[in-house]
Amino acid sequence: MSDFIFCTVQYDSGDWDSAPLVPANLIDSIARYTSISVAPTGVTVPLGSTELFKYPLAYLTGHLPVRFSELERRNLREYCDRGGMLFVDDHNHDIDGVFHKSAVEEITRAVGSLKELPNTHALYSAFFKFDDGPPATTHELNGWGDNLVHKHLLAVMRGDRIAVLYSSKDYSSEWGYHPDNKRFLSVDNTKFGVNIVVYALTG
Amino acid sequence: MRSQGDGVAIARITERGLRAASFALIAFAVWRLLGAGAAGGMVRLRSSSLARELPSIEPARDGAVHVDIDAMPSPADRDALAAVAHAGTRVTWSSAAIPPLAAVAVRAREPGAPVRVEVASTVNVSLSDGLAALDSVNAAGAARGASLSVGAPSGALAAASGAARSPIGIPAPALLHPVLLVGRAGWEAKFAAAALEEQGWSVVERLFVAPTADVTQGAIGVIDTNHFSAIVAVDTTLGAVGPSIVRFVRDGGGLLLLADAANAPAVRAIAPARAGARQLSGKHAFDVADPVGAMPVYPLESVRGDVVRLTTRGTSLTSAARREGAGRVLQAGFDETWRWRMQGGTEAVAAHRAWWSRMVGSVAATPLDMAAAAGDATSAEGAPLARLIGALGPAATVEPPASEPRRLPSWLLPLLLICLLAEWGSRRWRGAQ
Repeated sequence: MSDFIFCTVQYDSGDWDSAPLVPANLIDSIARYTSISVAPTGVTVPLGSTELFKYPLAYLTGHLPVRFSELERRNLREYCDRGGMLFVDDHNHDIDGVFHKSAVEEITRAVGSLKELPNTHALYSAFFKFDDGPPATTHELNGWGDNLVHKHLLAVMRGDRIAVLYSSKDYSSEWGYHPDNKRFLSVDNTKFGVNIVVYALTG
Repeated sequence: MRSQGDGVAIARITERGLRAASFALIAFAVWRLLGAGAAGGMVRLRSSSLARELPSIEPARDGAVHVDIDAMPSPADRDALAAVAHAGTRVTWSSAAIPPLAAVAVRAREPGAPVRVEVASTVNVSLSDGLAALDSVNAAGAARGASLSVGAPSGALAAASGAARSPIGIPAPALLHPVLLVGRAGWEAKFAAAALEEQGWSVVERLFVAPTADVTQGAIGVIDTNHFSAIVAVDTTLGAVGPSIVRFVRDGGGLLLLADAANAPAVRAIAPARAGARQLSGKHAFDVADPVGAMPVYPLESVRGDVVRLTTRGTSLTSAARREGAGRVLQAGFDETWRWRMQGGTEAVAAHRAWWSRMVGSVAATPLDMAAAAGDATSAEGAPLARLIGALGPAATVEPPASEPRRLPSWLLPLLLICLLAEWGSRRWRGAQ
């Protein structure tokens, strides 16, 4: 049985590598809380590469405008149709920002339109319970970015399965620290990341 | 009061009647012995008019019946002829050309599985249902016949070849319960469940995420053949489901053991083999001809003696099956089948679904729909020529049964004797010569 390997998506435009500490932090949380066999290091895979299909869960983030090439769009569509799940997080936490506008547009072109994901969705109880939906981030609460606390995540569905999970909450900033520093937190804020991985593996 | 003269007159009238009856009986006997009304003592019938002519056959009268087969007799007519033969009448048949034809419909134990017709013949065979002709196939070229998918036929399904026509019973769709999928949370379990659900199976999952946490999709409840058709184990992590598996299988349930699941202590006693050390495939692409060839595999080792060996890779056994009680166990050592779906060619998703469905369907317990099964059994012919031979023996050339003695009815001679004795006694009584 193969290990779960955390995959970060590299795309031609923008700053795909804006949250380099997130993979290691989530890998640490998966190993810490679950018995899922997880590879100790993640991988980075180009969105336009067939390598993407080796990793049915992929993470994409950035601050800058996103423009997919035709190959990237086609690959992403195929990836989602076959059962892959892409987690996209807006590192700006700004619905008027360039990442949000361009990423939503590209996702809509490639896979389909994003819809609000109900806060009762299985994602929020896949491992830890999040009764109020997606946990708020300190960036939301401190009024950074668009100064909004986003009540829902967005998703493109394939049947009853999430194909693209889109967050405007800037988890990339929230989880972008060295795993050792979890000991300074009263509540581990990466727990929702564990839910995303467990949902992808079981949903 | 009658006079003696009246009595004599009555006796004479009676004697004349008895003489007439005796002559009539003798004439009847001669007519029977000469075989009037039958060609050479044999009643000849045509199969197309059997329904009309069979009721006139009397086993006690007709010593032999020959049927010219111009159309394949219905099962009822064929059985009636067999009954006549068993009653003592010699029954033979012949035909200018009735090709051998065998056709049977099968339906896989999978949700929405189409009906397939397996045909064997020496000539062209055409298939039709209640609406229209469906297809035709030349089964003569292939010694093993042909197989045709006819989807969901409407009305009566039949195969025809020349004068041979065979109604084909359509098997009822299998009644399937959910599949219980157990294992560690991972891509294999996720995509196995997805493939089965997309193929129409209802899947209940029990996936192990942490020592104190399972992810359960659907209600598990009681694990028995009334609630589940099969259990699929994708690895050795069976958890709380493990102790129920052996009883489930012995009661008729199906068990599919993937990868190294056979090494789980809870199923070791019923597994076809032990899973050996994991071997990677030399292939890096899922080609259409042999997609499973690219999967890593746990070869089957220490194989039990009662298994059916199914597939091999090189010298290694990769899948095998066996019966356990009323159920079936299939062990397939393939691992990471999900890569086929994600990394295979354009048909890989559908092929992966079909593969999983076929694997589960091959072991799934399916309670019979008795009403549907009974209806099919009455109409199914399968191989009409073979059934005709089975009922009446092989075809014969038309010859009068020369060695067969022509028999008179058993009542005829005693009755004739009684008439003659009565006539003689009457004459003696009244003193005549």
